[in-house]
Amino acid sequence: MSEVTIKIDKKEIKAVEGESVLNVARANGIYIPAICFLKRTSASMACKLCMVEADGKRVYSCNAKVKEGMDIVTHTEEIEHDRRKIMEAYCVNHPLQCGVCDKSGECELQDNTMFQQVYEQFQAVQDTPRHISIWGSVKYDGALCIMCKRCITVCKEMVGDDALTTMARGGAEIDEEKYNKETMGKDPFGIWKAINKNLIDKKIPNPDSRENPCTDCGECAAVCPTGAMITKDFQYTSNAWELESIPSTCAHCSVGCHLYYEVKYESIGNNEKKIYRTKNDFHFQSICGAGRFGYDFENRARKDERTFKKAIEAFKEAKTIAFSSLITNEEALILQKLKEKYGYKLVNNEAKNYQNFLHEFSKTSGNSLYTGSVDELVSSNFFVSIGTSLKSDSPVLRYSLNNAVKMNKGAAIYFHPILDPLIDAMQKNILSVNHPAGKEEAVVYYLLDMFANKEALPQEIVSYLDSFKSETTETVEEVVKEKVTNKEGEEEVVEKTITKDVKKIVNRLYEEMGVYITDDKEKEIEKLIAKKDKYSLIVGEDVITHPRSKNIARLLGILEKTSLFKVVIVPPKTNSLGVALICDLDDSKEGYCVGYNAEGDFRLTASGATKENELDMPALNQQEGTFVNVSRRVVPLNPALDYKGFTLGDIANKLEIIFEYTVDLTEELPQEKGFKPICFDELGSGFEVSGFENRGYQIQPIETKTSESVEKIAHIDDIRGTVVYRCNPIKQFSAYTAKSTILASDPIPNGGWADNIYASEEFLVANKLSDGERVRLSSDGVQEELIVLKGEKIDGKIALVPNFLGSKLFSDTDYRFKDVTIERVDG
Amino acid sequence: MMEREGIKNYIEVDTRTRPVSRWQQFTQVVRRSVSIELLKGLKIVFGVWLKDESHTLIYPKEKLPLGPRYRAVHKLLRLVESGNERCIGCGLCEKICIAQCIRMETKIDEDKRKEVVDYSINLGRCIFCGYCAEVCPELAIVHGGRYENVSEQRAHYVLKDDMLTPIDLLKQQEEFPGYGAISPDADSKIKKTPLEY
Ligand code: SF4
Ligand code: SF4
Ligand code: SF4
Ligand code: SF4
Ligand code: SF4
Ligand code: FES
Repeated sequence: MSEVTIKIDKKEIKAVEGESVLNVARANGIYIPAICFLKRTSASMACKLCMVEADGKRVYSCNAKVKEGMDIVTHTEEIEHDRRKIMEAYCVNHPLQCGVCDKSGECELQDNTMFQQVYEQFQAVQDTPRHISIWGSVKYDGALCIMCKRCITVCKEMVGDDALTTMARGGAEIDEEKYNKETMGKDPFGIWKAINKNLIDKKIPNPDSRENPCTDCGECAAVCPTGAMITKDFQYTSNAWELESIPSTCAHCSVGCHLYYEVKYESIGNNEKKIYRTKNDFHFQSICGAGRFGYDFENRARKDERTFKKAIEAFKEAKTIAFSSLITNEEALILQKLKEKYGYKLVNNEAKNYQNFLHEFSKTSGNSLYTGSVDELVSSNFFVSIGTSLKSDSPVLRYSLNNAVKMNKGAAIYFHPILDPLIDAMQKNILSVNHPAGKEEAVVYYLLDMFANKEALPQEIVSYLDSFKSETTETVEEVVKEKVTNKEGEEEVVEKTITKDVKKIVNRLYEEMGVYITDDKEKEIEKLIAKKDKYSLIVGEDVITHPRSKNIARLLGILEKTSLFKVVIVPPKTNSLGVALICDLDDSKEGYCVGYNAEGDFRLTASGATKENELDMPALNQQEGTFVNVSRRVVPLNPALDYKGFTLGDIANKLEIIFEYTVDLTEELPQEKGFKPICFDELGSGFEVSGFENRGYQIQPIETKTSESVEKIAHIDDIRGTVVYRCNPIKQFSAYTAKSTILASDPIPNGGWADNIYASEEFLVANKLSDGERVRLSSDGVQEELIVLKGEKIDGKIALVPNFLGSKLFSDTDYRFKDVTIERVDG
Repeated sequence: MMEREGIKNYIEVDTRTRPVSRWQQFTQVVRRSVSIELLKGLKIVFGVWLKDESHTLIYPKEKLPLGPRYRAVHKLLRLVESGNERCIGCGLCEKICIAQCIRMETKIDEDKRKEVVDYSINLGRCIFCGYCAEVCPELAIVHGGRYENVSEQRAHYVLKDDMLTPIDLLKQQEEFPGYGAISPDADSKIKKTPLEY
């Protein structure tokens, strides 16, 4: 991409070729009105407000790309006239209800109407009856909709669910004698006709399936410039301008999305702050339903001196501190310091497992960390995802992948044992390959075979890969046309069947993978890879918990080193990566144990103390600190709500680890691991207009020595029979999401309760079960009683066992597929 | 006279008629000393006292009538026809209030409309500027005539129920002609929007 120089309103500006004029203008602080524009998706060209003159010709700046020497004028009399007329068109029949509209004060229709100084209306058409729909957590009011189609675009090109479409508004026709191109101008009239013709509708789910494509993320409502789409949790609870916006980081999964908590006093009589909603900078960051709706998980606690004393006693007695990865880096550092001072065992098996995986990975990759990130992902054009149910594990990674495939004309291969109708319905050029559970090791070998630079690859791997291949000769029949001279001496074309021997390479690796990749599939894959130059690989928890994870990690390290792939190894929990970097973890508990958001003889808990031996801790929306997210970025967490109880810092102070505020430790995070000595208050916490993510800092991998020893594919016991998969419902991640009453009132049945399992139709039939029955699952002598529900968006013979509140059947480090016996519990 | 900045030079004009000649001065002195002006004054005082015609208000038994635009403790009005509350919860009063003494709570009601659950003004902070009444698009929050406030502390809240016209007194509800009321020439200022029906 070369740099070009253009002029906007006589100002000389340097820009990257191929950028849209509007983007360039915005990044340089020049205002061009625009409504339908969304930075990361393609231009829908619905509003035409962004019109400018480029070298004397009218163009739409959201769509026009910058070219060397372009001369752009953003305001002319004619353009101003058209813009005003467009705003007039938007205002025809727009209900005068700003007074009760939730968007009032931050409504782009209001803003632009004022900006274009529309004080009078000259057009009219008969109004249509009001059309209101409720779609999951989103309310749609057609009367307020200006058909900018931002919702449709974001759902299709960002989220990937493609759940929205247009429908006929069904109202009166515009009287074209009175109002037409001549009276209004071409663009304004066209826009008015478009608004008058259509409304937004939810796509009718395929009548053959139960699937409703929407995953209820609320992103459509976030991008809606007017009050047409509003999330129900917020409706009529506050006027937008009364809220204080606190930039922070979502606490639910390791993607660590940027979001704002919006807070205000709880009520007239109660001055305590309450979160009224979350918001995202949708031009730069999308968030999933868990982030958007699961914000009410705070722990309102007071200082309980008696229990605090007990806690100190417990720490004095303890030999082990067990904890989960739902803590900040600073807290992790406190625990590490406690370990160093008092010799505690620090136990967090899930993070330990992840730490081991990274360690093995770094042995062969030559870097202490993986080098991929979300930024890398969105600029790539070829993707492979392996070992993760992307839609539930890391929703926004799925959005990013979908978005990048769309915008970069990319392609992706999604390796997973479970058929996912959602993934299949995303952009075309996303191929799902369903291998049986447990075959991930072979899949990684396949990736090495396909994508690694054979010259750079260790010789033993090359010969191992070659050992799978054998040449066979196949006899095929072929019909050929032949010219023959017939008896009369004329030339004639006749068809003849001949047999021919063709050489073919048979790859037994496919057998190891348990997938039969046909010639056609091979060609399809070849086509997907063609002309791609930037690769990203997403590696998920299935692989991290795989019985052969050690070897797979090394293979992945080699893959990163010898191919174009930038790898992202998704941390299984919110701050697994931070914990893995900061804490020196032990394998098992010993003696008396204090659990921090984990089991223990004495417990510190952020989800509300209920027992004698439990001390309240602040929840992650009440804490100040940092996380390390999937992009290796140290991102700040700002407290949205006050916390009046004791914190881990208070305990540490009592145990003679002295500091004033927990965030004083931000600059003390271990530099040998890549952290920087930057104090908390200096960390940026947002995006700049240009889209630059000024948010904390990114940890750069450090070079390590490599060794190259890897093992061949080892056979593990087949996982077949009644297979279940440890996977949380979309929007559920942890005790925090489970605590959210807004998520609990989720209208979509997959909203999730911890004691359900979600089974596919096929699974129910195969096990002769029906929706809502109580079942007992058992495996290796462990039993758990659950209610089986027919889940949405699951295909194949599988059931999902959630563990966001823990599960007897599965620990956090178990391989996610399990063969279980299932029986109905009567009564 | 020095001219100071910002202050106009006024010329003082003495309009009293003053005795000019010596004789006039003499007669003025005699008139003033001999006449019974003092008693005249007393006569008026006693007269009023005896006839009970005092102009002094006996507060708090008696109160002065207020001008219609007087700005005292607020009222929340109802729609005269339906008795519904006028306030729609738009929050403009809350926003404009320079003393930041208005708070409201809203929610979605059973009819899926915005309902103002409660509304409060901290009279201890209110400066009775009238902005809230002026900005209110529904003529809902207005000033009333109750200017007496007693409170044990600075913070002194009135809630929605204190300000809202009781439903049985709806008939007696009066429009407020002060800040925020519709001007008599409002019609002439309206720009008409075309209609197609
Ligand atoms: S619902 Fe909102 S985002 Fe969608 S078309 Fe209407 S105004 Fe645009
Ligand atoms: S909630 Fe999300 S998935 Fe559903 S329609 Fe809106 S953007 Fe699409
Ligand atoms: S749960 Fe994960 S993907 Fe969803 S908003 Fe939070 S960080 Fe982003
Ligand atoms: S009169 Fe003025 S100070 Fe008092 S509540 Fe209204 S706006 Fe606020
Ligand atoms: S300005 Fe009027 S309608 Fe709006 S909230 Fe205040 S009192 Fe209610
Ligand atoms: S922003 Fe360019 S057409 Fe709407």
